[in-house]
Amino acid sequence: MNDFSVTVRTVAAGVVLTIRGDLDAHTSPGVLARTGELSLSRGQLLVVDLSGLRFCDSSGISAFIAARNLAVGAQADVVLVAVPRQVLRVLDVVGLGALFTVRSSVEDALSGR
Amino acid sequence: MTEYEDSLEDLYDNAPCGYVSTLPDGTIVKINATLLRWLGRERDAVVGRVSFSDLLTVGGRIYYETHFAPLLQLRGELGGVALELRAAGGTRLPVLLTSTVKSDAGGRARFIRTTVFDARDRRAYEEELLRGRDLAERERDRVQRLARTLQQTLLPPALPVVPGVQAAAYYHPASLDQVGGDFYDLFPLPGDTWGFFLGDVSGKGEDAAVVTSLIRYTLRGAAVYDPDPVSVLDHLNTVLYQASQGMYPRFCTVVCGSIRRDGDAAVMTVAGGGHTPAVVFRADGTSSLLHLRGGQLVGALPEARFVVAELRLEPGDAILLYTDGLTEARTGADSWYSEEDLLDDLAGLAPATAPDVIAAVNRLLDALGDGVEDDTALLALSVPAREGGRA
Repeated sequence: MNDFSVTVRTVAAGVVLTIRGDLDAHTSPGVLARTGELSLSRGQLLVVDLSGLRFCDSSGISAFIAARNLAVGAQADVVLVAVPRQVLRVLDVVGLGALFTVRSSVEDALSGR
Repeated sequence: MTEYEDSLEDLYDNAPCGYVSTLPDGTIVKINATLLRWLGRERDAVVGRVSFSDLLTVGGRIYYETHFAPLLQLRGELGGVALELRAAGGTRLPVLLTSTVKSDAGGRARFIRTTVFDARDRRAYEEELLRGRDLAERERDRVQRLARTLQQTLLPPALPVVPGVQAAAYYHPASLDQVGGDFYDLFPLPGDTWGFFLGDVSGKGEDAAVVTSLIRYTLRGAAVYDPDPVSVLDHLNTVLYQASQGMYPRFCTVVCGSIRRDGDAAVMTVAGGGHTPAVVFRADGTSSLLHLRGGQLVGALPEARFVVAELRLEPGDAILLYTDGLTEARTGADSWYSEEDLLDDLAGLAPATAPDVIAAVNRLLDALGDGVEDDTALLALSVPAREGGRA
């Protein structure tokens, strides 16, 4: 059973995008749509919280790329939080592992630790 | 002024539904005017003369006597049963029956009271639903045929014969209604060299099919112009990145390269753009993964890095390229099939020919069954074993 959700929370330092469940060909269009609606200012952070993510395939990767493209376009930074081992593996296979800053918690990401 | 319904008699006789009371043996003892009008019968010809089941069609009578009456006797009431009445002139009237048993003080059944609702509208509605379902099924068949046709245009109709190399391929669609985003090809290049590629487009459906088509023609065109596989992927990256400007990234993972005969062996150049590692089966019975680590997926970034490897296939060696529908198949609620699992499951296969490899992976796909949620494309190449050597 896939109880997928994506939520957006605005914080002082930027935006926290939380993705839960399986990120695949069925669910990634929804994340892309939500990502497209985000507004980021120069120097802000886009924190993508993956602590509730269970699965991510190559189509789910499009969500991370969209997040990165949005951040790069706004001269903001993107941080992935609590990336599951399976997702690190996929990012590694598609050669994008080095492209993202990875932190273990949203607090760490927001405080720049 | 409030007007009251003052005649129960009239309410009974001219109610918007039919009423009929029978003895436990079915003989009609009371019937209202509404039902008589529906049936086109006279009261005197019915009351005390016919049994309720005589009013039913033959099929309805059998159902009434074998199911309705026994169940009614058992439960004392029964509702919402659809039957057909036989009206004068032979017309059929679809109705819904609700019956209750009226018993005396000693608990013995005296009468069966039945209300009869005209179900012609409901029947028409049901027929409409059935017609709608037929239409939807025909439409689905049409969509599946269209998807299949479109899919076929995205794959080579047959693999060409490559001198000194055996080739086999297979496409496993995860869905019949959707065009998948996987692709492969094997084609001639100048100088006794053959080009090949296999990959997976992000997303599914028509959008993915459009991108798949663009990728196929770009790869084939680029390989003829400059067969170096890294140049081919650079070219594809530029084309795809430009085509997918905007919020929705369009990209693919792809492995591409060339193969050339070298004596009784073959030399391959393979470049990877974010693709899962190929499996190499050696004539000595060992197998391994060909990692092209660091190669980035194609079309997502303005400048992408690709990794290239040289590989020699000796007689009896084979290589399998596959898309991630296979290694991302679900094996349990929270577990997925990995390329390490694939290598383990195929460990006993070497030495193998390209058709052997495809057949073995097909068996694996069958075993994974519904776990394979994404399309899977397979392309295997092998060099025939030396005469007298192991197969």
